[in-house]
Amino acid sequence: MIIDVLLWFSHSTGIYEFMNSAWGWPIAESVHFLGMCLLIGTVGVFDLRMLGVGSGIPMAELHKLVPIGVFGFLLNFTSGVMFLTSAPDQYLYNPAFQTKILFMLLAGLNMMVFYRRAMAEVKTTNSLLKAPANARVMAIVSLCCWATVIIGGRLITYYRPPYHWCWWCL
Amino acid sequence: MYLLARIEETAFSTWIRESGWGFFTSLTLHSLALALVVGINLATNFRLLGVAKGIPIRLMGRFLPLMWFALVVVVISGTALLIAYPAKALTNILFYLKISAIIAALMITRHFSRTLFNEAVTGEVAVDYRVKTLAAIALILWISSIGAGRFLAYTNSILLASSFY
Repeated sequence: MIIDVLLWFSHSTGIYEFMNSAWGWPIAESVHFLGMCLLIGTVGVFDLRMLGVGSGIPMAELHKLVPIGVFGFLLNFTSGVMFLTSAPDQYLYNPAFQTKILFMLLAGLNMMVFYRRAMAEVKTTNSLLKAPANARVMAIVSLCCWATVIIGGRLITYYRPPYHWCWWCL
Repeated sequence: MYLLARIEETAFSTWIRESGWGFFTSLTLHSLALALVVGINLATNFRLLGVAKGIPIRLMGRFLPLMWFALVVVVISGTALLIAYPAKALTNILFYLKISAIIAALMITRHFSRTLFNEAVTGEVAVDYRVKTLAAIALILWISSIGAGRFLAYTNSILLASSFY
């Protein structure tokens, strides 16, 4: 049912045809990897700064790179929808994809809590210091979530049975 | 080609291809580390092109030690993947384009690191049009290296050289 809906979407929008053209899939993958680098280079770097890497750089100023990461995420969302709707059965039943989506949701939840509870204080923290403890915990959660998303994503097209890493698949 | 087949037959090459963990570790470490290397470089070049102007340019080098560390991880994991399937990459011109783009982009990073990210200088560093042109070229090189890396998986003419012997 959900597979039919996703396939209907890709067929009716021309995405399916593009993805099955000669270079459609690798073009979408290149965009997906670029988006990943933009996200890690801005959001990931900001998380690292809160943990003390690159201290001296004011956090409020470094945070101004984050819109580039949001743009990267939009690239990833768009190309990701193109993958998913062009071959839904390859994703929905894939433990790597399921893990990836779960950790993306966790990263999103963590981000919402961060902006509500910690960002105001982080912005005014002295540029020579680390972020306050609660923000540092959220930075670690963010980095772990995005690392798991990358590993999960990389394993989606890893053409081997997942049994050597997916212990809950047994 | 014979030499590549011999590499494929070494115990290490076979182990990466056939053990679950050899390929898994190389592939995932390569992805994680490349995200840091390319990500930090993209962010640095965006700063030089005028994004987030409040970040002092002379301090932008403070993320580079992490970038160089991640580069070491990229090179080691990349070499492991290359040893697993040497003919697949070495018979594809895209592989040489990818490596050339990365080396050229890293030379630009090193140049910026020596000239602009100089913490002994007080006050803000001047960014002229030459710096901006170089930063734009570096951005294009990084994006090209990502594209070439992805297309490598779709354009190989040979998977294993040992299939010929």
